[in-house]
Amino acid sequence: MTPHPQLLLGPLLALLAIPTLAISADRWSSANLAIVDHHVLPRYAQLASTTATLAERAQALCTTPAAAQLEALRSQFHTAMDAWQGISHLRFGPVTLFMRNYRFQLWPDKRNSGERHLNELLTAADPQALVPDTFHNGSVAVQGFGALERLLFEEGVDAADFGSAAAPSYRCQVTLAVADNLAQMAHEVDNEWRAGEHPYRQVIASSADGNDQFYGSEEATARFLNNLHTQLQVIVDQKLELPLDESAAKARGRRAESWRTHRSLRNVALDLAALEELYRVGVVPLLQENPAQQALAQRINTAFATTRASAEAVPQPLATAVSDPTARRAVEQLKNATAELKRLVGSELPPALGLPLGFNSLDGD
Amino acid sequence: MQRRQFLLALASAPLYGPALATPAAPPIRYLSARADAAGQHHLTAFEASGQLLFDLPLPGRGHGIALHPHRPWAVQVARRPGRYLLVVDLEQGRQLHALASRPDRLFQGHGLFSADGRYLFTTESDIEHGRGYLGVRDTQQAFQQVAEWSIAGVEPHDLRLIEGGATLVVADGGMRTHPDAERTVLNLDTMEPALIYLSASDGRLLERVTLAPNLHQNSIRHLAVAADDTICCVMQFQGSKREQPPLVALHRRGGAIQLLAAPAEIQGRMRNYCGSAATDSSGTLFAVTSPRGGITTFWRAADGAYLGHAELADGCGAAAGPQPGQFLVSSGLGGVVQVTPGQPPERVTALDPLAAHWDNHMARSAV
Repeated sequence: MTPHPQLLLGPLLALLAIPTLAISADRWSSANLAIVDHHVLPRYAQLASTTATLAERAQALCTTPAAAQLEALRSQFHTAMDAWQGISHLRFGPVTLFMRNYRFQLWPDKRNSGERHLNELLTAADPQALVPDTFHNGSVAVQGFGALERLLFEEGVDAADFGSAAAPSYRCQVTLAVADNLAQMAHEVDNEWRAGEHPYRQVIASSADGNDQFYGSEEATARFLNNLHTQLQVIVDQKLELPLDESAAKARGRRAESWRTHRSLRNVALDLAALEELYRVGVVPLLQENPAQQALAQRINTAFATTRASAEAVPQPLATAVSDPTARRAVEQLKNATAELKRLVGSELPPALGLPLGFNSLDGD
Repeated sequence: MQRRQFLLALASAPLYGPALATPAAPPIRYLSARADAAGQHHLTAFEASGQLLFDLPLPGRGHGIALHPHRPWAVQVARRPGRYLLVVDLEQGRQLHALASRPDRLFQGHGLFSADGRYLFTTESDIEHGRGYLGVRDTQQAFQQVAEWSIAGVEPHDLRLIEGGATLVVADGGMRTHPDAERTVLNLDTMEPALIYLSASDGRLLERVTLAPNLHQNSIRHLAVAADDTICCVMQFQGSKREQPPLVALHRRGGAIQLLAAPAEIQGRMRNYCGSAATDSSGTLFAVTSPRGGITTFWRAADGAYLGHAELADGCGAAAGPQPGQFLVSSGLGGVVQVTPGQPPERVTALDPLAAHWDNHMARSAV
């Protein structure tokens, strides 16, 4: 952890004399467009193409339920989940329409809705429930990656559970409905950013003078930065702290995200890589305008590198590492490194950029 | 005792003990939830001078603070949707009770003691079915819940007492959220925020006041009450950022809502978002914070006149200052200022070393 004096020093200096950059609206706009064009759009395109393949492979499994088809679909689940983890930090724009972000993945699932609602769906075995319009408007908890993970990877599940060539099982039909739903949502989000009457890229590009969504281009930059900070908080509080709990004895590995597929740490690593890209593409050029900010930029670079290395040092899988006294220390180290990165991004970066990122203004009530 | 001796005894009494002493004016304590630089949450108490009184760790982010009318007690309420209430002794700076919401209810961020101090009211919701309630807990039974009153609304948030404590007024923000996706609003097209008046003795609905239909997306979230029971309600608009609806309104029981607007430039800077409201110690002025725009606006309770603004980036928490006409305002970026309408804010520098991210609300206790 950071030594105590440093905790006080950073914010204090910020209060005394903020060496704020005089960043014009143009600079915010170009930062926003760099983030959109080199981070957001490629990642949504990746999500759209990997989920389209996911849907094709689910169709192939239901056409010919067999071990090879199941393996191909399981493998594509990982590829598509990689793509989702790489852009799940974005919490505004088209992905938030119609609760798509929760329909992609409901996690953490505090009320255990995923298990309850999926069991209800499978028990009822009603084909009408899988008609797209009905399915999209039904429970959020059975529409996304969490449900697909249960369907494909639950203990004991094999190709026979998906039926036979002439008669795919209801489980297979649910699997196909979830995969189709993911593909359709990803296609819509990708499309709404780039095309249509009001492409969201344009909403961001035209924010300089204010529009329906933003008072100015700096508000869009603040949203990106807030999303970066929020995702670091999600890693600390949810992806790591929830399974860690207070001690090795109390640890609960099944609270880890994606524990069934043993990819909890892979998710964290993908998250961190995506956040680092957002930072490099959008924030670094703003910091480079002012030589006085090079020290901060260097500290954030180092914090990203430390966090990345800490993630690599945790023995797989996370779900068992948290209960092992030695491995657990590596998880705690990762948590501390991420928390320090979060502190830099939340407390020191906003004043350096001259962006008010207070939690009252961006996360109010 | 001879009369002369008695007079002497009386005159000298303060020297010998507190029994006959005139009680000193109770200290004024300010309370606010805050996050520290590492993201840990605390309930922090301080004096207007910035002198720190105590700092208690919280189990999660806090929001509103209820103050007991005559005991040195405060209750920190969890941020919505929340699970904890923390009852705190202000003199000893320690926790008295830690309470949890019913499993099927969630706290909505604010609480309030009854005028006699016996009961604690909390705004709560049944998220599964989208209904709003007031939970009633009894201080004489270790804060056990003794009643629950249904309100005619979906999202009770802030609440206050008027008419000598006989009547409760509740701000119903009107936004129904999804049970699995806690902050996703489901009813933006049909939301109907309201001011709801209830009997403080039995929860009976007395009056429900709504905004004009064209303002139905203007969520009424926070309240302040003047000495004459004029209620100031402040709003957060959920519609287009191109629109500039009124965000502050006054209401008196039985009357019509009086919508207030600041001069256009200031109104624009409020960014369709008010975070909290407070009265000064004379009960004649309101301060309304707009953290997104970084300004605090001032209003006269008697007629709703706009009295000016003060600047404070991310300023949200507000409470009456030590003297009439003054306010204290806190910022999520750090810093507390003392401000009098028309004068530049004065920073309470003694608090700066805390590097606190002050949360949405500040409370002022004079008990």
